[in-house]
Amino acid sequence: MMKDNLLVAVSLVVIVFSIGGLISSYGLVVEIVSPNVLTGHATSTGTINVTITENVLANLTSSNVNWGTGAITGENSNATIDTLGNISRGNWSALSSGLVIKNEGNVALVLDFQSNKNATNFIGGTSSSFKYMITNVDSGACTPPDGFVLGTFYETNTSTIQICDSFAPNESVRMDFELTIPSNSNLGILSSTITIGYNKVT
Amino acid sequence: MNKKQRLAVILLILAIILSVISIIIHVAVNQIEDSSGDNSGEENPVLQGTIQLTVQPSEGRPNDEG
Repeated sequence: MMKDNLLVAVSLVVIVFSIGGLISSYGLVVEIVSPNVLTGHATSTGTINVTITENVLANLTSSNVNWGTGAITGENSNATIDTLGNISRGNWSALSSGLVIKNEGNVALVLDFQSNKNATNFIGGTSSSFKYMITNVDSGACTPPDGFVLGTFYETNTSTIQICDSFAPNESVRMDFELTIPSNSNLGILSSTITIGYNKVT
Repeated sequence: MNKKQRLAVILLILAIILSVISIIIHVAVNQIEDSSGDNSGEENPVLQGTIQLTVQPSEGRPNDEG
């Protein structure tokens, strides 16, 4: 009889510990799920310190610019195509949107741009051109570095170029491209991989 | 097995179940914390895109040029 009572008592102690562990786990989950929820009652004055975790994140709304298949029309010496909807002296498909980069985080970012090919490597031929242009989708989204002007096409090269000194959170910038394809360009599928690097403003 | 022994066994089984749930929650929470820590630790995040077109020979240009 005594042994039975002892067994029940020990079991009760064990279950109390288990419930304690479960409550502790519940507390952890609540902390994770709702880190910004504060409750409490200040009796006179008090200080609330809230730490908001930095989130460094940018996204491309689409990762591919593809004009499809085409050729220089007539006897023209070159064609010019861009992502603003213009196709001159060629019959590629018109594209009216470039890449849109959005700052999805909560801190301002530095943006830089690099291509694995310049115009010669990408398109080839005589006087080919591979240009890019940055414009703000949201007013004031990108503060460019000195000497870099938004809304202006620049020739692409393979070195890394800083395009935004400060890219505001929750804002977007657009990256457009303009290609000049000479009549003696490379043929077939031509592609270049561009890389947008980002990090928080220090 | 009398009533008290049965009660003790039930309580112990319950305690084991609660402990297992508690351990699973702790492990899951630790994994979430670890993964979020990994993301913030990335130093050089990048986005990549492709610029592509297919060029066919223009008029008066031989197919094998280029």
